[in-house]
Amino acid sequence: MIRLLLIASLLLLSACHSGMNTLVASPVARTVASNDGSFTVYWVPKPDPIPLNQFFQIEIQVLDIAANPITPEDATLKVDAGMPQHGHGMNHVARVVPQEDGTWLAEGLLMHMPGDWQLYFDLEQDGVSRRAQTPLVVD
Amino acid sequence: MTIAGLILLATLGLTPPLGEVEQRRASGLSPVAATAPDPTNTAWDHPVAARLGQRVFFDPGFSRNGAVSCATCHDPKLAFTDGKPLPMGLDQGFRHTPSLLNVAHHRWFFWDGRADTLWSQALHPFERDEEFGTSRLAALHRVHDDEVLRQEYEQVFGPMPPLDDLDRFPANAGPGPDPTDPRVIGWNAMTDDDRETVNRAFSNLGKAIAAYEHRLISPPSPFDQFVAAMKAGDEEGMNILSPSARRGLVLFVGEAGCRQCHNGALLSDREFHNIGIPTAGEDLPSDAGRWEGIRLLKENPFRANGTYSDAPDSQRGRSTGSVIRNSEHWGAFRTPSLRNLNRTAPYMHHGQFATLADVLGYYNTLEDMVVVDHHQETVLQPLDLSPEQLADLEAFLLSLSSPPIDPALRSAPPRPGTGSPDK
Repeated sequence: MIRLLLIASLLLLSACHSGMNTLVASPVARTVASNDGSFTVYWVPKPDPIPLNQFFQIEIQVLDIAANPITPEDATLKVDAGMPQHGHGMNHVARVVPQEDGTWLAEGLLMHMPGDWQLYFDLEQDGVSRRAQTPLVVD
Repeated sequence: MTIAGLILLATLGLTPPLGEVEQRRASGLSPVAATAPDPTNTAWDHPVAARLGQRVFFDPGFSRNGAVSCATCHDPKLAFTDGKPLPMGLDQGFRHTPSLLNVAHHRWFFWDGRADTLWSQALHPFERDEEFGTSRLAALHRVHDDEVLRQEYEQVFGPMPPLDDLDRFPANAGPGPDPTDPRVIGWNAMTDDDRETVNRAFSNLGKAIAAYEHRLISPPSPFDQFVAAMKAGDEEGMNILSPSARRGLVLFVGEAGCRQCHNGALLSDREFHNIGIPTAGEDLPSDAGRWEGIRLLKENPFRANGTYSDAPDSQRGRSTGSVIRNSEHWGAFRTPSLRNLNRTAPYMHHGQFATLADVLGYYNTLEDMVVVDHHQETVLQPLDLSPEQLADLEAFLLSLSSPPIDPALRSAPPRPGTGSPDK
């Protein structure tokens, strides 16, 4: 328990030191670790919960394994979503806009069908592409 | 509720209770709200624009033979459809006429979504040879030469172009694929500035028609009244739906999976799917649907993020800019609204099914389904419902039928000073 609190404090301190309007401290932020474990995505959909068949946005912050922020200056982020059981994804390319505070805002996402979706965060840094993905149910 | 439970209730003729999830999903299907203004059309809520648009909608004088108007195929008595598998303007069209009731709630227009706004959609019939068969300049000359139309146009959009100068603005000219067509020759002889002026005025004509068409909102149907009663906890009011229709509703939002594509107040996700409906005389389909629609959309100068849009950077404009074209779109068509099905037969994009029972029968067995490739909707499986359950689904679907809209919207408005409607 003490170890968990220490990690949480470190995460908060790291983000605060960078002067970022951090999502890390947000009680409504969800987290997903990348498939290779090298970074963590903190994300908040707007509106929350994600509405069926309406455009929505996602605020995103990324921290590396040492809880240091990865910002738009360091990497490029792409956001996409798909319905693996249906064999298709969204009908739009999401626009991911870097924010001045080192976070990203993904716009123009739309999940037009209810059911099981996968949300993908693809981070491209130093010529390497790494993915974090998380399941979503839209109903 | 499980299929077995619904079969038992159907056998006993009982009304199923709606659980929390079913109530939430039913609530998501109603009501049909008034439409939000389209930012790409600043004339959206202008009453004079709506009146002008309504005059043009019912005016056969915009067609080459003086006998075809928008209302020829969009008949108000048939929920603004024509009752035919394929439409007949100057010639036969190639896709079934969709209803215009609640049309402004759609995200894309035409079965293939080749238009992204209602005003852009409204411009197509003028220049299609099987519809009005004229041109954008012929349409503008008709407005210009009619005192009432011209006055209303100029009240909304400002002065019309100087169309009296026929050397600059020929009586019948517009772009087209055939360079030997006199309309195209006339168009190509115009200056860039004059073509731009004409395009702007032509887009205004579409915006006036859209200002009328977005008012075509269905009054509440029995299903809408049921949902309102359900939200108010009014058990007696909920009896407006028969036990059969209520069982159909439970199937619709539950195990039949209809809501996968038929969601929201239109009971349409307003997007595109290939459900493999066979077309008579074809082994594999020849109609590319959304695949071609996206290409046409991107080429259309009258698109939401184009020159003639009043808000190219609006959500609607950005939506067009970000739309994806994948091979899964080949042969996909816009999910039709399920409202007012009692007046919109036949059904599907080529009018393949004469009755609602035919439609449900197809989904029940997927007999003769055409599989184009592995990208096709893999979620589609035969429903395998009993005849009683199919009847329940049909009863629910028919409960989505509304009374007719305001009579004032069902014909041309009276001409000022005469009290007579436009011809």
